[in-house]
This record gives sequence, C-alpha cells and structure tokens, in this order.
Amino acid sequence: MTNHRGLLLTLICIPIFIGALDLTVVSAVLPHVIFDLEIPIQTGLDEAAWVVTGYLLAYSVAMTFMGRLSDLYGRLRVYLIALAVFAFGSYLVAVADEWPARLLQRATILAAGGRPDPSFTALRALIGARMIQAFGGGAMVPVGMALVGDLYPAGRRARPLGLIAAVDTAGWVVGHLYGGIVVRFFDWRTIFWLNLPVCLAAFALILWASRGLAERRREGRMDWAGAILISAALAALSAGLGTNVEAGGTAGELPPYAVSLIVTAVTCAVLFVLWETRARDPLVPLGLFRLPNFSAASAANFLTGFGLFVAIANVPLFINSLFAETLEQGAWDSGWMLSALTIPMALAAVPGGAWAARSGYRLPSIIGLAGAVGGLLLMQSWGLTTTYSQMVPHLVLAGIGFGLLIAPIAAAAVDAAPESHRGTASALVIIFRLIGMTIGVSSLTTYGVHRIGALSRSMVETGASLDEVVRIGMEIAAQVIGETFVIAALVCALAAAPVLLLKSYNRKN
Amino acid sequence: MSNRLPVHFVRRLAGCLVLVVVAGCRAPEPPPPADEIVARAVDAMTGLPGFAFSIDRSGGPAYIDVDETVSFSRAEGTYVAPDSAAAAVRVVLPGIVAEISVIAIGDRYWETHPLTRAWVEVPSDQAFNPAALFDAARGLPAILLDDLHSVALAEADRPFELEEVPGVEFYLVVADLDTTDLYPLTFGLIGPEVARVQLLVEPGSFLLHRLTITEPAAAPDQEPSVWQVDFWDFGETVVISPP
Repeated sequence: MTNHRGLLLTLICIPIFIGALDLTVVSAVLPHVIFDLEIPIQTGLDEAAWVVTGYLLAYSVAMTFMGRLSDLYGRLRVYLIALAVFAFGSYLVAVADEWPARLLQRATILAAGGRPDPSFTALRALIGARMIQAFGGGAMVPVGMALVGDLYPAGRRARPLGLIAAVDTAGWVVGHLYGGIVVRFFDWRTIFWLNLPVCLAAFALILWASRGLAERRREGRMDWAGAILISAALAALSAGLGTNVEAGGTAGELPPYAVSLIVTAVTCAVLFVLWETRARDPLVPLGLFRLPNFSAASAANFLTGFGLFVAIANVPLFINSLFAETLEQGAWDSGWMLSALTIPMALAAVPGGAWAARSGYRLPSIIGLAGAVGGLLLMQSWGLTTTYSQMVPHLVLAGIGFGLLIAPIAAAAVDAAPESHRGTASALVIIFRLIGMTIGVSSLTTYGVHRIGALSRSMVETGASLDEVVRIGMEIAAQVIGETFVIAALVCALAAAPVLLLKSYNRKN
Repeated sequence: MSNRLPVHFVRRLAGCLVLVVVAGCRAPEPPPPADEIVARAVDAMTGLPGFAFSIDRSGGPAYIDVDETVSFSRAEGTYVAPDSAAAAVRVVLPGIVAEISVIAIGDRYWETHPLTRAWVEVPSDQAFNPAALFDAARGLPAILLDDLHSVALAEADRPFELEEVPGVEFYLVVADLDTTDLYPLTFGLIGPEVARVQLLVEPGSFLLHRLTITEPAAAPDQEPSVWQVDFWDFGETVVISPP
C-alpha cells in the first residue's frame, strides 16, 4: 500500500482541485450566464449572485460534517460518493437550462399554478445544480484530509494535509482565469462538461489505486442534530444577507423575511454551540476554540475571507461594467487581471509561511494585512479613466498582502491544535475563510444593488438619452464597486485585532 | 326459498350492460369546424373581465429600434377589460438584459426608466401597448376573426397537451395570418409579412391557452422569429392604477 500512497494522494487531490476551481470559475463567466439566460439586471442580479453564493454555501456546509460522516461510514466510500455527486452536479449545471429547467417549470406550475418566468426557472435550476456540485466538491476536502489519516502514520501527516489545503487554495486561485480562457473560445457550459471525463477517470483510478486499502471506521454516532443546526444557520444567514431586492427598490428597504432569516441563523448558531457542548460525538471539537491562537486565527480567517472574495468578485464586475466590449472579452480580461491578485497571493504564501516559522505569526500577518487593506483602498480609486496598467499594481499589492497573511494565520490555527485534531483544524481554517467569503458576497451584493438603485434615481434625469444613461450607469457602477472595496478593506482591517492576539511562535521554543 | 335470480332483474342487468357497451363504443364527439373553434375562442376571450398573459420570442431577434441594438425578449402581465394592462417587458441590449415595467389605462401609458426604474408617461402611440394588443375591437380578438386564412384543424397523431396545463387536451388550429393589422399594434415587432399561426383551444370552454406566431426568416441564414403568447388566470382581474 505504501507504494500506492503517493499516487492515491495525487489522485485524491485532482477532484479537490477541480471542486475548488469551480468555486471561482463563475466569477469570470457569470455575466455571460446572466446574459445567456436573459436575466434582467434590475430584477435578477441579486438572485443571479446565488450562482456564486449557493456554491460557497453548499461547499462550506458539506465541509462541516462530511469528514465526520466518513469517519463512521468509511473514508474511501464517502469520498467516492462525494466525487460522484460532484460529477453529477457538474452535468446538471451543464444542462441546467434544458431538462432540469423544464422539470422545475412543470413542478412549479403544478405546485403554484401560473406560468413561471422560464429565464428565472432556468436560473433556479442552475443554482440548484451548482449547490449539488458544491456539496460533492466541498465534501471531498475534509474526507480527503481524513483519508490522509488512513494512508499516513501519525507524525507524517502534516505534509499531505498541507498539500490538500494548498491544492484547494490553488484551485480557487486560478478558477477565474480558467473560466475566462474557456469562455473566450467555447460556451460557458464547456467548463462543466470538461469536469466529467476528469471525474470519471479519477473515480476509476482511485478505485484501482485503493485496492487492498483497509477501510477504517470509527465507533460513535453521527451528530445529525449538529449537522442540521450548522447547515441551517449558514443557509439562513446567507439567504438573509443576500435577500432578494430589486435595483430600483427603495433604498434601505429589505423584505421582512430578511430579518427573520438572520434571527433564525443566530438562533441556530447558538443552539449548535449549546448542542455541541453536550453531544457525545460532537461535530466540531469546541475545545479547539479555547486555544487562543486557534480562535484568533479563525476570526482572522473569516474576516480576510470576506475581503478577499469581494476583490475576486468585484474585479470582473468592474471590467464587465466599464471596459469590456463583449462578454467574451470581459471574461478573458477579468481572468487575466484577477491573476494579478491571485498569483502574487499564491506566491507570497510560501515566504509568508517560512517567515512565520522563523519569526512568529504576528509580524508577517500584520505586514500582509497592511498590504491587503492598502491594495483594497487603492482599488477604491478606480474609475472610468483607470487603465489596466494602473489596476495591476493595486491588485499585486493586495495579492501579496493576502498571501503573506493567509499562510501564517492558517499555520497558527493548525499548529495550535493537538495532533489528533490537526485534520479538523485544517478543515476549519478553510471553512472559516469560506464562510467569510459567502457572507461577503451575499451582503455586498445586496448593498450594491440597493446603492445602484438609490444612485440611479438621484443621478439620472428623466428623458436622458441612451448614451447618457449608459455613461451615468458606468459612473454609478464604478462608484458602488469602489464603495464595496472600502467596506472590504474595513472588514479586513478588523482582522488586525485577532492577528495581534496571535502568540508569537518560534520552532526553537 | 329459490336461489334463482328473478327474470326482471336479469333483464335490467342485461339492459344496463348494453347501455354501457354502446356508450363505450360510441365515437368521441367530433370537434367543431376550425373556423367555428376560432370564432368561439374569440367570443370566450372577449367575454372575460381579465386574464394573465405572457409573450415570449425565440429564434431570430425582433429589434425595437432602428439601429438594431435593442431587441424584444419577453413580456408578462395582466389585462383587465376593456382597456387596461400592466406588464414587465424584457429587452436585450448588447451584453445586457433589461426590464421595463409598463402600465396602460385607456389612452394613457406609463413606463419605467431602464436604469432608475422611475415611471414616466409617454404618448401611447409611441410605445408597445399591451392593452391595445388585447382590445376586443382592434386587437388580437378582431385580428383572429378577420385576418386568418386557410384555417384548419391540425390532424395531430394524438390529443394535444400543453406541458404547462397538465391533464387538458386541446384543439390545435393552424392558419395563415395576414399581419398588416398586427404590425402597428406590436410597434412593428410582428409583421408585416404573412405568418403561420397555431392556436391551442380548450374544448368545452373554448378558452385560448396559446397562440404561436411563426414569422418567415428575414434572411436565408437567419432563424424565423417565433412568438408564443400564453393566457391563463382566465376571468381574474387586478386593480391597475396609474403609477
């Protein structure tokens, strides 16, 4: 088995990479999808954002409990099921506006009557398919990490665990570029069709490479109550913050269910914590949060996740709103421009980790945070006359900042955990970042849509010509995107508090 | 006590069986002639106080402006007899899809600004007015009565069923439509050539559930424009008031 161990680890990493790739792949192609499905921007933008938010949400939810499920039912079996779910979800995304949309349309008519708008039905089918895909993709990460426990002896697991975490990060770092390149030459559905042969090959090869691997199962119970409570809390929070609003709706006016959803989310979260303290086999070992470095690093991860994904989502939005002549060009340019953020981030993570190992977590984290906040604040100045060459240094600065920051805070969380909980700690690092991303996208989409409505009413005069409306629309888009960059910078800056609480760590100590 | 059945009981039972068999073997009632179906469908439509409708375009684009940058995609709304309608009209611009809300009451017409969503009143003859489209005297009902040619009942292999209306079978009527009268009503979107139409009419009530208009392709390399007009919520009305 030892001979196949490296091969099996590599094979496990491939679908994890693709699952993470699909996390950000739509940030470049979403305008394409919205146009293709004929979703009107004024009434459909908020719902369309769920193509991204839904994936983040289902990915995070799956990560919270699928690792535990694999402990009880066999890691390899659960991993392969998750892979099959991801592949099936990819297929559903590729055909979402065909038979799934027709099926959903018919079901909606039978349940509610009338004639649902086919464009929105197709969008809802796509969101549902994305969530199925994400559930499989998200499950593969903790289950893959748990599989490492079966493959490697204690004391030799840090490197493979780090590899899985790095592969997961690498996936969403290059997702937008991959999306931009594919859409430049092919239909956006191709992205999801391409997943199928890769998943199929990975499935077959993992089965082959794992022959003879003894499935270890732990005793204990699945904490279903905990799984349901945390899933409900995350879902209600995302839905409450990403509540459906129209661009022309009255500013500041949220539907009444938004508050109910947020209250539900908070209630479920409190019940989850209470339940976990009493559960015999808790889903999350809450004892980890008593470790100061773990709690501080988790908080910092959440806040930086918020800021990071706002940058990832806003750059394509800015380019498509102001520069792109065609949707293909928008996706292509967005993909490359975002690389100015993500590639420096990935590269800076390496020295960031090494620096933290040498001089402790605090210094590289604070310097990284300063770079990230500074970069986001510089992005706030982008406007109609900004050029790509002016945008690149801002993106690079933010990217380096995020890279220097992410590696030390991830290491702080994992290093703080006892050996037996390092896998869980690694998964929680990603989960907190993902939750920050989900909340960032859903809340700032709602904010952005409201602000566009408010600014449009005050800036556009009745009877303005189409050219004038387009020009003012671009100005408004630039202003609102700039404001969301400032909010992202402020949220990121809040991470300074937990980062300063990180206790210095030195290997010599 | 005799265990034989009385003769009168056996006779009644046999009589019932014969009736059942005769009823079962009787051929289904033949549909009325195609033009009578159309006339009764128009009667049913004009007798309604209101209904919901949607207009979906597929195939070749239908441009609203002379520069051919803005094309019609969809409209959905409510018509209240005799002259009111509210609808959301979806248009496709280069790289973006926008929605405009419209309200028509008599001769007055309002629409929302595509960006601000603020209402503005515009002259009703300068816009696509859905109320005029369903007007009994000059709208679709009159057009279906006067401008259809070669009206025939389609010889469908099997009873026609709409996916959106499960469990109901329809008469399928096909015809050619002279779109001269429809052209100005649709603000130049449909016509002015002869188009092929299909009508799906519910037997019994003669309610028109779907009207499909297929225009010939503008050029050999273009797809024909297909307009699907659906009707539902028959008889239901909403209050349509000025914005």
